[in-house]
Amino acid sequence: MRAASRPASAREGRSLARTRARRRETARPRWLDVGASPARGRASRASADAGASDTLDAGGTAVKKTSLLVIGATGTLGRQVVRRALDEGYDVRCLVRPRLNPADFLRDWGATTVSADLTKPEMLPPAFVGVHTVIDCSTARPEEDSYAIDWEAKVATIQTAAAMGIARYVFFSIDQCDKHREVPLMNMKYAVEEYLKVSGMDFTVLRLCGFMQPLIAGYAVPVLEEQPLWGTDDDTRTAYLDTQDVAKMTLAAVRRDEAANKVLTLAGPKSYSVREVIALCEKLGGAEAKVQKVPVGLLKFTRAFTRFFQWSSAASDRLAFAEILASGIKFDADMTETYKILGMSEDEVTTLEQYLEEYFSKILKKLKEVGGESRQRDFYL
Amino acid sequence: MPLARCDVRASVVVASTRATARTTRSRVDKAATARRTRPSTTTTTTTTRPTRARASAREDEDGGDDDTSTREDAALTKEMVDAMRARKQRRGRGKTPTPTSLEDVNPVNLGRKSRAAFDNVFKQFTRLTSVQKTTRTADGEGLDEVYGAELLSGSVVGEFETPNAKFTTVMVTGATGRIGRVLIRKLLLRGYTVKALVRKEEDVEKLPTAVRVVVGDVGDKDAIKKAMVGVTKVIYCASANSSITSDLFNVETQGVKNVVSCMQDYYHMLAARREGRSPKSKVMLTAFKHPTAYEAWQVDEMDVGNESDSRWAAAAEMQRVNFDPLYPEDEDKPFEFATFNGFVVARTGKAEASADVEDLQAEVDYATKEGLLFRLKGDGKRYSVVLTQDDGSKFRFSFNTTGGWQVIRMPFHKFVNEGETTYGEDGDDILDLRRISRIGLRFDARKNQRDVSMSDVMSGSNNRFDLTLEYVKAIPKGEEPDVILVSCFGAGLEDGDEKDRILKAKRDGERVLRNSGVGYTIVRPGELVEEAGGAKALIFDQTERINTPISCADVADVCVRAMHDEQARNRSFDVGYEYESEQAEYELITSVKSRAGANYLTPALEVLEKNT
Repeated sequence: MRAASRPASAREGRSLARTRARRRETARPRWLDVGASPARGRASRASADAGASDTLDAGGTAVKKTSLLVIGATGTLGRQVVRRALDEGYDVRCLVRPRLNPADFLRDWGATTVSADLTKPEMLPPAFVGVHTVIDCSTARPEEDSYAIDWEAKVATIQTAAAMGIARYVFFSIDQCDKHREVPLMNMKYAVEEYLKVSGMDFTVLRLCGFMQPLIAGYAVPVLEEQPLWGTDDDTRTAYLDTQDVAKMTLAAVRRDEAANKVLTLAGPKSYSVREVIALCEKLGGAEAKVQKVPVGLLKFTRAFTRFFQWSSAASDRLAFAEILASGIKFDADMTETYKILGMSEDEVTTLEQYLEEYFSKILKKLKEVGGESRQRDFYL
Repeated sequence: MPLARCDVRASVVVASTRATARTTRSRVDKAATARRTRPSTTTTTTTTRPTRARASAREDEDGGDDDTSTREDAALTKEMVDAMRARKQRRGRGKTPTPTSLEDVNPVNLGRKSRAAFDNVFKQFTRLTSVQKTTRTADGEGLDEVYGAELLSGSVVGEFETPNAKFTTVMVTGATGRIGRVLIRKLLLRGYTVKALVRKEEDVEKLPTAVRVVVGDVGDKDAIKKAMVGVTKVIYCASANSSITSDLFNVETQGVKNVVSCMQDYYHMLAARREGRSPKSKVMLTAFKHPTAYEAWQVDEMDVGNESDSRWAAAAEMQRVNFDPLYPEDEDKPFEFATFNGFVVARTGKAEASADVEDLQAEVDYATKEGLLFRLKGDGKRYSVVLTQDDGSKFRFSFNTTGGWQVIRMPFHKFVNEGETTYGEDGDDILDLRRISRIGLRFDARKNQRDVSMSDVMSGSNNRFDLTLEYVKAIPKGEEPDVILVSCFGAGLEDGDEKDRILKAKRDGERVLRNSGVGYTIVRPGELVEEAGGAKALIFDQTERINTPISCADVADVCVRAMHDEQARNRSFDVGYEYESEQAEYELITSVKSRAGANYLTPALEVLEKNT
C-alpha cells in the first residue's frame, strides 16, 4: 500500500533525511563537498563571509549575490516573490514546469525561466548553476500527488542545492506543523524542515499561517454573489498575511544574515476566525452571506470513511485537516522577534481590514462600471 | 453567434494589461478542462460592452441604471450598497424560465451535469479542510474572467502599478548595463511600454520578451530616430565601456546630444502635424545672423552718475557702445554673429543694448517658459542679462564669461530685482513673466572691479568690453522631466587622468542636456554596488559630498520615480546610501528614512536647487 511508504511521523522523516545525508556524504566526490556536515559547512561559510565570496571549493567564478532561483514561481506566492525580487534588483531565474510556452508573464517581467520537472531530479542541477540563493515556493496543486512534490521532490531539490553550493535555501512551511503531524502535508513540511537543517546549507524556514488572497475567492466573491458559503463550525483562528507582504518578508530574510539558519513564523497583525472574515465581508460588501455550516464531525466521519478505500485515500489525506480543525487551532505567532530579525516594522504590513476594504472598493466600482449584471452561475442545477 | 464575439473582445481588453493577460493564460489549461464540462454556457467577460449587450438582450427594462448613481469615490460605501441593491433587484427580475427541450433529458447530458454538480460539492467539501487554500481551487477559473485575474488573485494592492504607466513609452539606452537591466524590469513591472536601444544583435536575447528592441548605437542617429517613434520619456543610462577619449565622447556626450535632438525632432514632427509648437524644444528669439535682429536690438542711452556734474558729463561723452553685426574677415561671407563692444567710464560706467519683446523673431508667452538661453563668446568679464517689466522695474541675471564660446542657461526664477528690495510687500520682488517688455544685455564696469588687477585698472582695460553673440532662445517649461540622465561625480573611480577624462565627458553630456530645452533630471549616483535595493535609506545632495555607495536597484528606482515627479524636472543631484555611523558628525542634507511605500523622492528633491 502506498501510504505505508510515506513518512508516517516526523521522526521517520528525519531519520530518512539523515540516512540520505549520510549516503550523500560518502558518495559525493570531494570537489562538490560544500557542506558535507553541518559543522564543516558553517565553518567554510564563515571564511566565505570574510571575503572570498561564495565559490565552489574547486574555485569557480564567484556567484553574484543577487542571483536568485525561485521554484514554484507561477504560484500565488511565487509570483509575488518574483515581482518583489525583480523590483529589488535581483537576477531572478524561475524553475517552471516544462511547457510549450512556459510562464510567459515571468519573462515579460524580466525573469528568466528554466524548465524542469520537480519529480525528475536529473533535470534539476542545470537550473542551480550560478545561483546564490534558492527560494522554494513550490507545493503540490490540489490535483497533483502531494507526496511526490512536497516530499520526494523537496528532498531531491535540497540535495541538489547542497551539492551545487547554494548559499541560502529558503523554504516555506506551515505554522504548527511540528504539532500536527497527523496531517500528511504538515508532516511532510516538518520532515523537510528537519531535512534542511542537516543538509549543511544555510537555510531559512518561513512558516506561514494563511494568505489573504484565497479569502477573495473563498468568501468575498461568494458574499457579493450571494452564493452559498461552505464553512465549518470550528474555532480555528488564522493571522492572515497579504502575499505581497510575505514576499517582502521573504526578501528581507534573504538579504539579512540574521535570518540565516532560523525557523521564522510569519503571521499577520491579527488573527481571525472564518466567522469574523465572513462578517467583515458582509459589512464591506453590504450583502448577507448564506453560510452552509458543515459540522466538523461530518468531515471527520468522511475522512474515516474514505480511508477504507485505496482509491479514495488521496481524498482522505486531504480531509485529514478536519482532525485539527476540531481542536480549535490558532495559526498565529508573536512577530516582535521576527520583525527585528527581518529589519521590518509592523506598520509596513497590510491588515485584513485594509486589504478587504481596498478589494471591495475596487470590485464594486468595477461592477458598477459593467452595469452590475455579472453572469449566471447556477448552470449545473 | 454572439458568444464568440464576446470572447474575442474580452481577450483584447485583457491583453491591454499584459500581466493580467498572462495570468489568465496561465490558468487557461486548467480552466479548459472545467469549461469542457459546461459547453458554451460560460458567457463571462471582463468587458463592459458585451456584458451590457447581453444584459439588455435578456432584459430591457433595467437600462438606465448607470445614470442614477453618481460617480464619486468619496461616497463609495454608499454606492457599494446601491450597486448591491441594484444587482439584487436585477437578479430577481432577470430569471426567465428556461424552456425545456429534448437536450435537457438527454441522459449523457444529465450524467455530465450530475457529475459536475457532485464535483462541485466535493471540491467545496475538500476545500474546507485544505491546509493551503489557493485561488485555483473551486470557483477560481470561472470568476477569473469576470473580475479580472488581477482583481481576483488579490494582487489589487497597487504597489507596483503607476497610473501614468499605460500612456508612457520609455526608451532606455544602456539597457543591458548594470542599472539598465534592473531599470527595465522595474518599468515592465509597473506596466510601462519599454523600448531599448542595444548595441549588438545578441543583446536582444538578454532582454525580457516584453521589451521592444532596436539594435543600434547611441552614435547612430538613424537607429535612434527609428527607436524614438512613440517615445514619451528617455532614460539614458548608457555609459562607455572603455575610457578611450573617442569612446567617451561618442557615448557620454554625442550620444546624449543625438538622443535629445532625435526626441526634439520627433516632437517637432508631431507638432507640425497639428500646426503647433513642440513643447520640448526651445524657441528662437533672435538669431543674430539675420539683419532684422539689428532693428530690434538697440543700444540704450545710459545715464552716468550725476548729470549735473560736468566732469561726469564729459566722461559720458567719452563712452562708446556698439551693437553691430560682426563682419567676418572674408568680406564675401555673410555675417553670423553680433558684437556688443566698446568702453565705458571706469567704476560706474554701464553699457546696455536691449530689444522690445514684440520685435523679436517669435512672440512668446514667457509664462510658459522656463528661462532664456544665450550662446555667446565673452572676454572673461562679467555681464548681465536684464529683463524689464512694463512698469519699468528691472530684473538681472549676471554671469561670467570665459573667453570662449558658451551657452548660458538663465532660468527666470534666478533673475533678481534691481530696484529697492521690498521685502514684506507682496509680489514686487518677483518677476512677472507676463509683463516682460524688454530683454537686454548689460556690461557694468562696477561689476568687474573685483576680479581685475591693479594694472588693468590703470590701463583702463576693465572698462572695455567685447561680447560676440549668436542667438537668444527661450527654454520651454514643463511638468515632468523628459530625459533622465544617469551620470556620475566620479565616486569609486581612482584619481588620475582616466577619471578626469571620464568626468569631462560626463559633464559635457550633462551640459548638452541642460541646454537642450527638454525637461531633464540628472542623477549622479555614488559608487554602484550589486545588492538588493529598497532596504537602505538614501541621501540626496548637490555638492559631490556623498561618499557612500548605492545599489544599482536604488538608482533605477530613483529614475523610475523621477519620471513623473515635478520636483525632479531640471534638477541634478547626487544620491547615495545614508551614512551608517552612529555619531551625527556630518550635516544631514536630505535624507529619507523610511523607504516603505510612499513617494520618497519628492520631499527629498524639494529642498534641492532647481536648474542645476
